[in-house]
Amino acid sequence: MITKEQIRLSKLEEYCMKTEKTPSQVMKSDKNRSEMIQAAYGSIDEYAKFCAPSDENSKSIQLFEKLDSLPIGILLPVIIKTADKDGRLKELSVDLFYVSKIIESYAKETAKFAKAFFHEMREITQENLVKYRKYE
Amino acid sequence: MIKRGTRIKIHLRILGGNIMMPQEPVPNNFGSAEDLTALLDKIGVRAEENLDDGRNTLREEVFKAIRKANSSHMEKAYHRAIKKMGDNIQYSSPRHLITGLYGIMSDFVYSFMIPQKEGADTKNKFIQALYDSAKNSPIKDYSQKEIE
Repeated sequence: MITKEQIRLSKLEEYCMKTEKTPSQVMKSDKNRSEMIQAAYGSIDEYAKFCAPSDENSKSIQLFEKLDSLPIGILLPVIIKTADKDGRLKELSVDLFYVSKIIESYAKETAKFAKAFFHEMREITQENLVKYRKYE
Repeated sequence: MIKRGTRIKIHLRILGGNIMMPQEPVPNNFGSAEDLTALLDKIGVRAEENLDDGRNTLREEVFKAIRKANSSHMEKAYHRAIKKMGDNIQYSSPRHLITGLYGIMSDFVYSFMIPQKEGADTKNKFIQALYDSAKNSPIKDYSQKEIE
């Protein structure tokens, strides 16, 4: 399966061969990038369609949303208690609710951060598109 | 009697030059493709290899440039996301967790960006090395004897 990144690689390679510009020259300048995009995709709008968030991306955001809403703090003590058949954790007097709360907090923070991260990635892509449109 | 080469040198000195002329005349007939290959062979370069190298170098440069652009794109998103999170993070030092997550994610993204050819080359080299070692190995004879 060809990924979006591999398509981008081949388009940039083609453009560099045609124009004899170095890849870093193209990637550093917004004007050059805009030219490359227009040459490769026809227009910035076509490129915007190509950059549109894929199903996989929205699936991963949904996954993190589920993780954020999951009652880990309630479920985890029950799961650990069932798994600890020998009662070793009980012997060590481990407070399962406290441990579960810590795990829940970390998991929720991860989910929140991941959602924010994906959102920012989309925002930056949109900002870049606005920059490229200036040279259309 | 003055040797031929010395005579040429003397003539050149008289003309004002100090060029060392080769003793044997170099054939000046590198017009055909075969002759060009012969010339490239002499200096240790093969024409096709040379072209491939150029293509591979460009591919590597493209890969590096896109990787750099994506990395800065992700870094920007990462810093903005942290800024946005701000007080929402409950623990005093969740940074290691976030950094870890960022590392995993960037590795995941970069793994998609490795050009297929690069992977294939490494694989081919590995297979070739295995083949060569098996070819030269004395174990091969031993195993053959065992089978016989």
